[in-house]
Amino acid sequence: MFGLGGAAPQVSSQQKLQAAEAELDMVTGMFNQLVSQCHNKCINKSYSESDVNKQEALCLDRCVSKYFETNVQVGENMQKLGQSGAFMGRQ
Amino acid sequence: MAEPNPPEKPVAPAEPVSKPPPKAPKKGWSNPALRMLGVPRISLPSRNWMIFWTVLGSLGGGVAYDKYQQSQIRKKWMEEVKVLGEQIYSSDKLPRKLTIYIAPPPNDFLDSSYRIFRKFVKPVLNASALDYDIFTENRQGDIRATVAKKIREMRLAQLEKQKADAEALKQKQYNKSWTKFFKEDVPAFFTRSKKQNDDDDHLVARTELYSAKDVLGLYQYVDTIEPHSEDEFNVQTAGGVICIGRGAYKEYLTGVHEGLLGPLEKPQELIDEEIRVAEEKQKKREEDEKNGVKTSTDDDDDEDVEGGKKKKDPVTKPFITPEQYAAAQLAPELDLSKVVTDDNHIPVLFEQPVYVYPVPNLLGFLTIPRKIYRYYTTRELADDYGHRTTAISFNKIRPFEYKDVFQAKEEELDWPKKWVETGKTKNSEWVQELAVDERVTSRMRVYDHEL
Repeated sequence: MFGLGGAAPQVSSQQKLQAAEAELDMVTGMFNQLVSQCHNKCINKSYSESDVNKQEALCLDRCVSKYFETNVQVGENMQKLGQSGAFMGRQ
Repeated sequence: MAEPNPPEKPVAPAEPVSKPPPKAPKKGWSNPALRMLGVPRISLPSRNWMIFWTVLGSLGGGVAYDKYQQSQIRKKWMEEVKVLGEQIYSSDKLPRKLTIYIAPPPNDFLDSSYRIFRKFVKPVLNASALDYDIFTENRQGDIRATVAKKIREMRLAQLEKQKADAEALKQKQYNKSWTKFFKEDVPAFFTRSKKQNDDDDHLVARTELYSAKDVLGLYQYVDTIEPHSEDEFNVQTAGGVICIGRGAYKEYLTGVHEGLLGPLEKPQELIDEEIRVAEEKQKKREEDEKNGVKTSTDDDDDEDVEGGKKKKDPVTKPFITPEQYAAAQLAPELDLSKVVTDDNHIPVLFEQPVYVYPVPNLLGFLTIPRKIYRYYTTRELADDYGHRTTAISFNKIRPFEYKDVFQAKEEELDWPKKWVETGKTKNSEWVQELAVDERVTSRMRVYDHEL
């Protein structure tokens, strides 16, 4: 009785853990990408100033919001593709 | 090695003599050393080639020179405003945000006015680290309708708020009154003893009582950053509205007038007219169907196409006409004694200064010489527009005067005459004189690059 009751949730919790790990990986990866990309694009590499100046601040604001928005849209599109089954030539 | 050379030598000079007997040897400059290397005589090309190369070179050079000058001028104005972008900025601040309205010039596509913004205005705005929102329209009246709608929504929200406040005040008075005491408090006193038993087993989530942070004794040193826009702090210089094109300016001003002076609800005449138009369309469609019963498949296709085109609702007609401005009441819901701000304490659109750029855009066959002239002197335009944009960056503001109604009017000379005529028959907003009301314009301010 206990074996039966315990077996099913154990599998699902492992799956949940895996899903959570994948999610964390994805979010961390995206965040790292975003930081490096926006740093490359917006911050003046001569580092003559210790603080961020107005132009860099504005550029960072735009860069981050654009990155997130694009990421969400791409994710949504991929999900749609995955659901329709047409992704990567799978019919 | 030495032997094959001597016999060739007499052959070489013999050729020009034998081949073109009428033509004398080419005039030009030569050097025995170069000749030995096989470099032919250096000479000017023929007359026709000379003409061709001169024309091509001067035309192309003119274009290249103009383009180069444009980029130099752009750099010059960007340098001028660079100071603004270089100030140190903490992460809890947001820069000033402009609102930009772009309308296509008459009978042309949006891109032709968008290009002017992109080439001459945007680089300077970016260099001075200003944020902006761009609104474009593809149909006449879109800007006017959206501006008016925004102001009306604001007025409606204010009206709701006033109603809610009045209600709350009434409730407060009622709570203090004797009526409530006898009607509710006295009966409640008697029923309370009965209810007390039910309240005992009321459960509360642990998180509501305390959080993990409280128990562990950890403290957060960094507070969450709540960014505030610069516009909140300096009301006088907050925001800014930029119209690209005289039409956009006309529509914006009319929209502000419509929003502030017009009625809150759609007037009955407009609703009736809309219904009438819809009925006429329905009738026409039915007649078409009757006539084309045989070719039913074609009809279906047509309807599909029409359905795709008609997805956008037609632009809402103005709720108020310029003749009615004088009789209308100026937004009674709003407290106009001080600057009207939104929920984030940023002055609303019509409280922000305005600026307009003319869009020089010539159409037609006869205007080609002028078009060419303008094409070769675009650098003057770049210089002018860069200069104008610095006025926005440095906030050179003065109150609206009556002459500002005619700002960018020089653009109207470029408008095609036929287009203006059809506009007049269609009662288009663009070709009518811009009518303003003193009560509205006295609140407005404009940027002026000549200050």
